[in-house]
Amino acid sequence: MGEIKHDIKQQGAWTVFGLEGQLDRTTAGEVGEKLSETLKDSSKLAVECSGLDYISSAGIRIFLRLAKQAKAEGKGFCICGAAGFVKEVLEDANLDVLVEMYPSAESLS
Amino acid sequence: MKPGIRKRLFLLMLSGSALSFLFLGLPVLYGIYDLQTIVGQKEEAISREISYYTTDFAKEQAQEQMESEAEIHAGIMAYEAEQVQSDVTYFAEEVKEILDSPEQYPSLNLPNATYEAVPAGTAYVHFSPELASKGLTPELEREIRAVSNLATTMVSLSHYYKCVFVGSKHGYMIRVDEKGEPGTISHLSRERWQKYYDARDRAWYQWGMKQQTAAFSSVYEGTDGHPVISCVMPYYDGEGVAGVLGVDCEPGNLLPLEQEDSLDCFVLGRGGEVLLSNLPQKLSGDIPEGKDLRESSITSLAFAARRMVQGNVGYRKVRLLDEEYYLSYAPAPKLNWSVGTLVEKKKVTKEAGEAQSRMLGQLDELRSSFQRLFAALLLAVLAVLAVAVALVSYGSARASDFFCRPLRKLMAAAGEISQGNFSCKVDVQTGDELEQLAASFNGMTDELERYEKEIAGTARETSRLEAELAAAAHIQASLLPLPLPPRKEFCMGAAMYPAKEVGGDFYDFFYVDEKRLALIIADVSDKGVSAALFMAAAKTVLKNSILSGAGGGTLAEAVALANDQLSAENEEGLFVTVFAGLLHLGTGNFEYVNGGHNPPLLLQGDTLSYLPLTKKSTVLGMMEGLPFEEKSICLGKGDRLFLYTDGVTEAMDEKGQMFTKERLEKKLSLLSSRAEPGEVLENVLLEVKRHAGAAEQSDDITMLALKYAGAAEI
Repeated sequence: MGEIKHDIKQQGAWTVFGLEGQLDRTTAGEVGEKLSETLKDSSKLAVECSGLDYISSAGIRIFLRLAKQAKAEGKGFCICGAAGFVKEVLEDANLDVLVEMYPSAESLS
Repeated sequence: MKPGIRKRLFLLMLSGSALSFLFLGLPVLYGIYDLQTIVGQKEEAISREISYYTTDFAKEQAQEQMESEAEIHAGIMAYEAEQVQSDVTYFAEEVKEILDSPEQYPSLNLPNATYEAVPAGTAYVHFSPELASKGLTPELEREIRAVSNLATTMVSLSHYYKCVFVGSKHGYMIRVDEKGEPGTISHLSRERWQKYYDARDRAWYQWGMKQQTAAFSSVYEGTDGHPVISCVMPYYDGEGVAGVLGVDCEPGNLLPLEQEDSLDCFVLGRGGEVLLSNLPQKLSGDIPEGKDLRESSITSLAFAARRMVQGNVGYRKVRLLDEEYYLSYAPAPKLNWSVGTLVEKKKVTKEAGEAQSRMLGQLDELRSSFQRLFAALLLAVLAVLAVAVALVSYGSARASDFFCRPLRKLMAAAGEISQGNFSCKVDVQTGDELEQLAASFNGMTDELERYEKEIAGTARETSRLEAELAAAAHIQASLLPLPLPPRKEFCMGAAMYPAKEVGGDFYDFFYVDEKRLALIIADVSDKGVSAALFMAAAKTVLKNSILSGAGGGTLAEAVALANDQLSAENEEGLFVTVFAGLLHLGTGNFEYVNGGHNPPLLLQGDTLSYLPLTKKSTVLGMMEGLPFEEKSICLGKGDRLFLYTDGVTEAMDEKGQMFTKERLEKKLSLLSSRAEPGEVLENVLLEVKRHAGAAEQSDDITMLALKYAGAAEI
């Protein structure tokens, strides 16, 4: 069972949603809801994944759904700071085709 | 079982009150008892006293009454006698006046009983035999004719007496007898007396001669043969005593008479002789008329007679004919008589007895009313006690009920809860520990209720999930292809181990045409029925796309077409990672598209590498119109491909450590270069299980291994 923590910061136009821990099937639901809520109140949402150790397909699905939602609402959505395993998974899945990826929060534009 | 709190509380209150009542009530009851005892004792003494007192008092009363009655009797008698005496005295004075001056009176000629029958009630003359034979002198005749003037007086007196008479010393008599019945003739006209009667021979005459004033004779037999008593006195002429005159009385007329019944009485003369008596036959023997009673053989009677003669007033008990009598006596004034009255003792004591029994009856009534009073008092006290006890019982019951109500509420609620009704609440507002208890209780039931709901929700969810998962597992299993008929060009093995919570893995292989074999391994992003259905759709769409593109289209075009179809109807946002490859059996050329899936491994002899990535190719189902890149490699004879899903590399041990690509790579590199696909799968699986240990499988583990054996030799 994974554990996950999150924090929300504002960085310029971006609302940065920091994740820390494991994003798997057991934590995906909760994180998904939080992210949806956060997206409602912001025009640009970035998920900061530098603290994320693990992401399962359920986690990827959340990101993809959010990207779809953001696109439909004309909002900005991106993933940043993914590293290690997470970065590997995201790259393996070629998610950059669907979601904007940034190496870090600092590199957000 | 011990009595409940309510009962104990009730008993406590009841016994407390009962004790108080006992303390209050016992003295009252004891007081009543004591009072009754005292009254009982006193009453006994009182009735004894009353008994004595009434006896004595009645006796005394009787004595006093008898004495006073005797005096009254004597007085009455004396009065009667006095009347007679005054009549006689008046009579004598009249005679004397006539004799003193006879010439002043007319000469009257009265009928003479000696020679004719004179009717009774008429004054008449009678001559003694001596005078009749001797004859009258003229003087005597004149005297007789003068004295005859008394006739009027005598006739008037004769209404009251038996006989009125004047007896001369000369032998004549003027007399009036009581009238009697019509036709009755005067006594001296009667044969017995007419020729023989001489007044001077009669006892009354001799008695009268001795007197100075009017005096009563004894009772004697009168000329009519009946007892008679005469009141006589001498009368005088110029020479002295001229004779005796008087009246005859019925003895009974002199005796006092009671109104109701005859009085047993007698009169003693001055010599103790019984002058008159009105006694029943049985007593006249002991008190004979004419006898001196002082000489009586009955001592008490003789003693009383002496006292009577002495003129005393008294009262004495005498015994006559074996019966006790009370004799009361008193002297008749002026007469020197004493009147005695006899009353039977039982008559006297009867009154005393009556008085006594009346008193005792009253006392009995008093006693019974006392007893009634005590009974009423006792009853009242008992009733008050009973009412008080009843009230206290009721009050105690109500009070204990009141005190125990919260407890019983709690008990009832506890019972409800044991029945599974967690929604029940206890309403206790006593402001004490019980209220706190009730509050805790309600808190507990709230928790229970919430917990129960949670459990029920979880259970529902669980069973729903389980049903879904079972359906999904069924779908997933049915999607797997059957083994292909073996061909010399290749050798293949595939395995899928579904996780308990089903993952979305599937694989597929089929001949596109005689020369080409399609391999697909995929992983749907979610679990459950919708994922399984998406999985089925993905498999069908992929297979159709690949098969339909077989004529001229590329594999990338087929995958892009599949992506378009999956994205178009994917409202749930599901996606699938797909690795699809086409092996040209004749050449060993292997075209592939990787839609976001884990890159397969290529084993060429001892060399292990990943198939080069296909850029810009990502997961299927997210977006329509995405392009897919296709790459190809050429497999040499003996080259092996190892396709897997993330269930392998991400299999976790108990500490959450993943199996990782590194371990997979290491395992594969350690395997013999000649290991058959089935052997490869088996070894990898064993290694994964060894790593996972007791940890539960969290995702499907799916593997597909293919060994290219080279073009078939024709």
